[in-house]
Amino acid sequence: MKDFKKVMFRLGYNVLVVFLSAFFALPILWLIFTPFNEKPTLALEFPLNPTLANFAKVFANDYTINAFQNSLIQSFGATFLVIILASLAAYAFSRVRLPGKGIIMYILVLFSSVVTGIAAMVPVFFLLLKVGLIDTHIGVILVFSGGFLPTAVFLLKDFVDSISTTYEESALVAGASRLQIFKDIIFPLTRPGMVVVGVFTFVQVWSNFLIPFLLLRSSEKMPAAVAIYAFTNDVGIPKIDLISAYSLLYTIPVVAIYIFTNKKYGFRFYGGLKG
Amino acid sequence: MTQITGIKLNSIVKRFGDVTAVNNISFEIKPGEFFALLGPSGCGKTTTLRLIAGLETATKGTILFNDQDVTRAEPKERDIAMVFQDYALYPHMTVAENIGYPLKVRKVNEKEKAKKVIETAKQFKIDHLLDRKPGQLSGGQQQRVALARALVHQPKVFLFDEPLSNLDARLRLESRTFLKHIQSKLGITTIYVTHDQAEALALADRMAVLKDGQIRQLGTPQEIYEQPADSFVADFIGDPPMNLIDCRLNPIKGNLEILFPGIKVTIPEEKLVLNKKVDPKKDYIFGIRPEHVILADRKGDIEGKVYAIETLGSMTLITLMVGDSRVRVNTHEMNLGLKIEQEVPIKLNYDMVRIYEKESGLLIK
Amino acid sequence: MQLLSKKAAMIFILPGLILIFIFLIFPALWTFFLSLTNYSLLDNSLEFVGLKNFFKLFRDQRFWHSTIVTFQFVIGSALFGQTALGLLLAVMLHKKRGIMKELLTNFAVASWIIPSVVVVYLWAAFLDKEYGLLNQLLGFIGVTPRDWLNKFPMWVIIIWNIWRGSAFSMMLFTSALQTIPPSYLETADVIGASRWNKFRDILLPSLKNYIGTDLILITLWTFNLFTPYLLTKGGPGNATEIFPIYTYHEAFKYMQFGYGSAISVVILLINLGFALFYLRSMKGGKQ
Repeated sequence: MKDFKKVMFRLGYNVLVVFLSAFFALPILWLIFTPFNEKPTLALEFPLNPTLANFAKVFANDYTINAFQNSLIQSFGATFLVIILASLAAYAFSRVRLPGKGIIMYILVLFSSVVTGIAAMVPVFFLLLKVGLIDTHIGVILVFSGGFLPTAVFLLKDFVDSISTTYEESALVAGASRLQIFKDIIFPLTRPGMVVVGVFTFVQVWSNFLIPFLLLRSSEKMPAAVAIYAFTNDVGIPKIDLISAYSLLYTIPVVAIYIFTNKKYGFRFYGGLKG
Repeated sequence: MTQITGIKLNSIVKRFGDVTAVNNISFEIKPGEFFALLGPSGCGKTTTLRLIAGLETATKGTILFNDQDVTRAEPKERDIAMVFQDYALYPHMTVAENIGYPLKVRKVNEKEKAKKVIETAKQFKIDHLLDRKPGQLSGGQQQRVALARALVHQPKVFLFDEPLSNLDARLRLESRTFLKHIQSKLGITTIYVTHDQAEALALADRMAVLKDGQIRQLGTPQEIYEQPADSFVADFIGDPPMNLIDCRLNPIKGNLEILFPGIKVTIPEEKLVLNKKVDPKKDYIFGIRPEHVILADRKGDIEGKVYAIETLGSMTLITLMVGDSRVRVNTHEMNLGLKIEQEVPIKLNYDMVRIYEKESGLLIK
Repeated sequence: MQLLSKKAAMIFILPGLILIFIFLIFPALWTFFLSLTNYSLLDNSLEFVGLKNFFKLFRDQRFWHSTIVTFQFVIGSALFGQTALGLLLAVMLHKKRGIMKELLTNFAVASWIIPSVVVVYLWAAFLDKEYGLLNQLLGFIGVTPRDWLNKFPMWVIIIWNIWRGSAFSMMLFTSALQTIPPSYLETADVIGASRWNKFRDILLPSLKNYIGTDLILITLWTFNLFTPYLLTKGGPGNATEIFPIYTYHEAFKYMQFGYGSAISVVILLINLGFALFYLRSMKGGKQ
């Protein structure tokens, strides 16, 4: 009787694992197989004669290449801005006793979780319209940066807090100047934290659809996220060959970064960062 | 050769907001002296050290290096070296880069720097580790690297902030000896902060015991051990600690009655000469170190009941119940054949008895 | 001795603060103002109309319809979906090894990290009436093909979001489970506790705080999620017009900024409630 119960449990467990695996895997298979098919359709077909022709089409298309460039401009722009501004602020917040520091940090974190999504975009759109930054790369970069900075400052402050002040003090006592200390000690010690924050910002901007979708108008400024979407909108029949190859190319950096960071920092990193 | 520096602190006060960390401290350290600052956590010893280093600036008072006022000078103008409790070895630099860093910021040329680094590393027997990163070193090795880095540019003053507290017991002892050796050899003026009284006693030429931002006693280790200036110092210094028992004193016709909780001893007045007239209504503390309580053969001053016997290898620690108080007795004799609850006569070495006023904590004998 | 003077520290902090203020805090406050106007991009009018937008909003059938749909979406996909499935995955895979575990976790994580635009295509293909994999598979067991997106749109976006987000909860709970000392479960084994007992008496209590955190975060994110728009455009009709899509339609499709702002204000206030709740629970958890 006990053995029977055990066998049934194991059977049930395995069925559940298989079912859940299928649930998560099946929709993704299309992304893995379709781009290599000669005639891609919405149906899932294993590429018996794998071809790279669809990718060639992507690279031959000025519009898609341009969209990738836009993605890079916006992602790197926001990443760069967030890293610089967040590092400066985080260091000052961590090391200097400033009045009202706790309240400022609290308000920043509160606003960054409250002001999100489309509800935030209504006034932001209006703001950019007023100051003439609508439909510009810089406008998109600034909006992304404003949104991610609070989290970035918070994370980096935590990181700097974890670096003992004795490193700086021992350098001071050893006779180093402030500039030398920043260059030789603080920057190298803070770099891992900066990488984490930078990677996070990059992935988020790269993947984001809503902000460029709302704040950009002209097709030559659209990043890949919006460009892919446009393939069904502008053209009567969706160009599945282009879409499938393009989607895979667009996804690869995100997956690669995930694998890299997950190996290096574990889930804590992603978990603490998302949202 | 390093110039030998004397240090003088005049009425130093340091406040952090409403908290007074250092409250009017003055002392002088002679050139080449090994000086220890000892006290429990929060007593202001580390703040005092950081004031000398220039990592904090005094609220009031002056600090002199060889009669030169450095109160507001930057750390780098003071030509000092400091070893931190966590060593603060830069994790991204190799051992060689760490040791060479004070030379690098002084713009010493590469060739001379490399020479000095190797020289110093050899002195500390870490020359085989030069290419490693601090993370790959053991605690003892890290400590030596920190020492080497501190000494490489031949500082005028050497500052230590609890440098041994991260080591395990055996290594701590070994490092202590090594430190004492190096300091004696180089003769650099050294200030050493610790909360471990044994370390301070072992290392220092002179020491200051601090509490609540003030110096409670200043002197040689021997003076402080034998003649603790107040009941706090008496309690803080010594391992096993001094026996401190609350009592009342009652002078009667040439005799002195000592009333311990649950027991009374009467002795001739001349055996315990106090430098203050006793008040029978006041509380006092009777202090005696465990080694000055002697197990008597037949008739003692007082009787105790064995509470516990602990063998410590070179000596035996016996705890007795005397009246309602516990009294520690330290003896080199082993195999005393004592049993728990057994009654034992004891004698007290009255020369070494210290009496403190309970209220003020002040020494009156 | 500090490396930075207070003045220098302010200079370090200021650029970031200014950017955050202009692009995050100011717009949020400004929405409150805009919601009291009749601002519209179409005729470029801007008049102060008081609470008129809110009165209109609360009388709007579509608003109440959107409220119900949003509620279903959040309860279904966040509470019952992601949190429950995430917990199930974390517990069933805890201390397990092998290829099936790797496969399951990797695909779950993949569905979480793939950019949303791509995910939408994958699901459009998966659910397609004629060619979609789902209908083909169901065909094997004799189920006739259905137009899932048009016939069961609410079910689709709920299940889609469960698929999309469960990995976060799973990873959160997995890392929480790893903090439980093995001796807890070993002690339970020694005294002969059943699987259910171990789950109820050891794992669940240790996860309590994490489940709370997870619920608040997931709910907040789901509540603000715009991506279902790419799948259904809020339709068919307005069957899946959750708050973010409703806001998008009013503000960006019909260009009614005053009215759109009023909806934003409602959403931001609800977000504020969640966020305050979250920050308070974080504080409580630390003590």
